[in-house]
Amino acid sequence: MPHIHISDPAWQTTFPFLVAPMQDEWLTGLLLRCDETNHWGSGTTLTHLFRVDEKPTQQHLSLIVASGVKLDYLAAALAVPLRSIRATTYQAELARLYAVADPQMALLSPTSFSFRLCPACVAEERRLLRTLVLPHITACPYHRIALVSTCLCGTALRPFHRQAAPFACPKCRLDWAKLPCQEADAERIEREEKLLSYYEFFWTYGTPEILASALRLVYDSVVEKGEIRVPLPDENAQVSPSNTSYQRTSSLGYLVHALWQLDLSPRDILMYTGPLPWRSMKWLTFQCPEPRCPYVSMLRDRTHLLDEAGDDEEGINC
Amino acid sequence: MMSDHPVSAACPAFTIQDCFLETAFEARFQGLLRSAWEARTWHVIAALPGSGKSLGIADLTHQSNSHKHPRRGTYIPVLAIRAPKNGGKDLAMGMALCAAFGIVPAMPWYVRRSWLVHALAEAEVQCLIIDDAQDLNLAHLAFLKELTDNLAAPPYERKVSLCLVAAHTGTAIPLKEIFSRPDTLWRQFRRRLDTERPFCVVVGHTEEEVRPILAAFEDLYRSQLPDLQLCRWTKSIFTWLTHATLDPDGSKRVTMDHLTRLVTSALRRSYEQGGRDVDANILAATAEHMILRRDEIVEISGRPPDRALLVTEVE
Repeated sequence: MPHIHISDPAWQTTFPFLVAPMQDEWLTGLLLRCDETNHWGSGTTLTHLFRVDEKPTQQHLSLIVASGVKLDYLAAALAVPLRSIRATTYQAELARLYAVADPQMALLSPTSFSFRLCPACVAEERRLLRTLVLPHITACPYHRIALVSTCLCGTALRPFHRQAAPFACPKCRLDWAKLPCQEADAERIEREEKLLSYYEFFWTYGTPEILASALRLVYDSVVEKGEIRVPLPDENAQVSPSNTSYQRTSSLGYLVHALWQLDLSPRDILMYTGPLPWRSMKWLTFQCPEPRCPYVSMLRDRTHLLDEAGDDEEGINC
Repeated sequence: MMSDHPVSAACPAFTIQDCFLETAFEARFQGLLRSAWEARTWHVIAALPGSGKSLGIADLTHQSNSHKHPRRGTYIPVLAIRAPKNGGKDLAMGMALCAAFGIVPAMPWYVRRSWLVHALAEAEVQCLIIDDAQDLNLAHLAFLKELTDNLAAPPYERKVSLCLVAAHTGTAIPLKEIFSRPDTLWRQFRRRLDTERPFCVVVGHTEEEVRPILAAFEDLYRSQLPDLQLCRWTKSIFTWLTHATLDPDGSKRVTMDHLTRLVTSALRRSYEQGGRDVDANILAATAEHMILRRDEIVEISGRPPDRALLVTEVE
């Protein structure tokens, strides 16, 4: 934890009251906590970040990849390492997975982003979880309650509003911590835990090769099952006109959902080399009489990655 | 430490030791500030220019354990600022106070006004020190009163000390005349000033007080002038520095600025001449320069001496 003495030159280049990112916190939550700790209105820190350089666009404001946001400036103003600020976004993970320098939100989800939160997380620690912004996640995995996107007064929740206090509805001023908590059904929790394990797999091991392998696996599985495409539950959602169909089907949100729907595991992705002789390890254990079979060696090498992860990461290997 | 003269290949440059010395003046001045801080009293504190007021304030601030921490919060028991220059209204004073906290985003003045009260309370400010208070105008003073009144009122209920530190000359004390005016605001302001010591003048050094300062200089410069003995010149130095030119009010006190200038200038000249101590001639010449020739216009002509550059062999 940084401790800044008044004689330190950093005193003049930091905000009056400091906050440090929490584990798995989303950048939006960090900015709101900064506003709240400093007794500023909602969005003051965000506006200040853009005042430094440029005006924010809708793409910027999702703050999931934080493309174009001055994260280095924020890190300096909070006296924390830049990597801990980056960890409040999916910028680094998406950049590595898609091998792009400046990842865009469309790589995660081509549909428009809708803000939702877990009232229990807000009540406990004023925490907005980074994982809750991932596509198809509708319940908090920690509190097992449904995420809320509308205030009791009917106003759609917005992360920042000029005339509101941080973490409060701009219309009725209700604190988000006081929003009702509705228990999520067990089936939904189970499904989303699986989805989160896919995301975790890509965040941890994801490379462009793994991504390509997963996409090929999904495509071949769909062909094999005779389906034209994998339907998404939110397929009626608005798709940005600028997004191509390629972006839609290669976005991580789409891919993760497709993997879940086709019941394909991270192990399947690592092992997949083509339609034949590959079969999911759930259906077949490939055996070869040749002691130095190159195919078996390749399979062993690829799955070795997951085996190393150990029992404590069972969620990834499911 | 500061090095500010030509580098010679033969000997390294003379280094000025600019560390803070706890002189008799500073003991008096900081003692008053600390007493005000502890008792949450209000004072107008005056001293001659060059006494060491700003250094004393900076030192007190550094010692006050002010810090920023993400978990423990921000703690600024002593908040010191310089009075806004070139006039300006309450906004200028508000901006100066905000700047003492670090980065504060742009916001409307009415928002900033109320933010400042929150921030001062949250940071547990107990003592406000305004340096160069002779530059304050009526709008600044009115804002300071409003700010401290808001802190004293619910929900904060924090009594804050206020020290207006001003440079003065002669017998007039800055702000005294303003607070004597019959307007309600100034009567209220006057009422808040300390009962026993509302207006204070912190005086400079006597001859006896100059001696330990010279002893401290001996220690500081021993590495550059090994045989340095300054204390023996105490009387002469005191006499020179209380000359009417340097002490126009006839206070018979020495300011730290004059003392430091005389000593460092003489020591530098001795050092550059290869001396191990400072002699009477150099001290007298330097004093004469400060007293009799201080308004002398120096003509700068010709080429400056070549600066020897350090050559480092790179493999």
